[in-house]
Amino acid sequence: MAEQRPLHVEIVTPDGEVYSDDVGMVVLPGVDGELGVLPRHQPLVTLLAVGETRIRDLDGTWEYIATGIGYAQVLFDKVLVVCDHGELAGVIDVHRAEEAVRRARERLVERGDPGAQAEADYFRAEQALKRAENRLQVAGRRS
Amino acid sequence: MASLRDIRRRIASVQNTRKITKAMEMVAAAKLRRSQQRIEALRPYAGDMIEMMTDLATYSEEALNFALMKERPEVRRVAVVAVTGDRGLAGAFNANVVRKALEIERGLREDGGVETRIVAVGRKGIGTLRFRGCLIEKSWQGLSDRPDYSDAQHIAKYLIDQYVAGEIDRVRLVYNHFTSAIEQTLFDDVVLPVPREAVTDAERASGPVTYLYEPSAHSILESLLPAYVEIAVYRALLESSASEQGARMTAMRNASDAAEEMVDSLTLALNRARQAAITQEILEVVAGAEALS
Repeated sequence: MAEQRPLHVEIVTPDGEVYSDDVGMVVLPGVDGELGVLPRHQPLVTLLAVGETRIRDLDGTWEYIATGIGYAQVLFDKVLVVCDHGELAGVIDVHRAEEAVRRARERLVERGDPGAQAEADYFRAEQALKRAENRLQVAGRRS
Repeated sequence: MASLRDIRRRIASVQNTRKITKAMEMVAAAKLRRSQQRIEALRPYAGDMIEMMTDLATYSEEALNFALMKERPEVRRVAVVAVTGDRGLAGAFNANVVRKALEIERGLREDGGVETRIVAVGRKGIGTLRFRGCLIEKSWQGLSDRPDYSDAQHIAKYLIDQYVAGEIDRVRLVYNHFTSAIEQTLFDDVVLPVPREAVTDAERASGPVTYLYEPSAHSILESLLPAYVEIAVYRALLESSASEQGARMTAMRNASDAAEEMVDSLTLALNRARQAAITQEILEVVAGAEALS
């Protein structure tokens, strides 16, 4: 590589900006599997699943971010990640995530009578569980 | 000259008013802090979401097959969403939005008979626009204090339905953008069709852009487009809400200052009148004593 072209990555959630920097590579959790993006990548739009976004800095170290469902666009060496939540591995509150996993599991067990309300509750609990487990997994990346 | 009692009464009344304006100023300042935090947290998200949509509208061929992206060849009806507050006493905050909306309406009408559909958000805007003889297509109120995302969803759904049905060919949002606590800027954004970026010749020369879609253009745009309209509306609601508190705080501070000034000048007048009365009394006593001697 003669000269490394940087890739600009922005990760935003409704609660604010999570990440914004020039990086070497980013791996996104797409709905149909992970997508690795390097500079000069073809323009791309994708739906994101709850998962782990990995970023390799220009100096080669990796950073891990727990991201929620949303969208990502790659255009002209700029990656926009717009998702419902996002936390850097370093700031994840493990206790809170564990607590959330426990609560979500409880709610999944005590599934109520069949009906629209129960269905919606069940779905919400499932989503909460997915998010919390994802946080825990990403937090585990901390060295 | 006004009697001493009248002046005292005036002073008491102005002081009471000042207490109220001072209290309103402080309430607005507290609410402002909260609203400001909310809008500042949302801005990067909304900005990137809108940037993404603009990029797609500019460069993606597949995206142009969607109704919400296509520029209609003939614009006959434009929806103007005027975002105001539910309460007054905020300086020119509400009046500016109403004036701008009416200006747009007149401009479009004179410019080639384009019809305007007014959508009013906020009690103040509804009241003033109705008073000015505007036909309001649809209105929402009771959400300027703490706009919810679900409020934005309702408004967005209405706009999308109307747009898709061909009732309107363009949607413009008129709202106060929160610049700082003492400054609001009136914005007039086109939301639908998704605005396109003006592409420079150099960029066009590099050839058309072919997007990859994961999983497919259809499934992405189908969920992304409504989300985009919702976010655009939500951002306008939050900007407006923070601006309203800022405008009210400034207006109430000015009112409090004016009241204080008025109390000062009234106190001066009171003292002058009192002094005059005393002098008068002394003169009368002296004149009486002289007459007796």
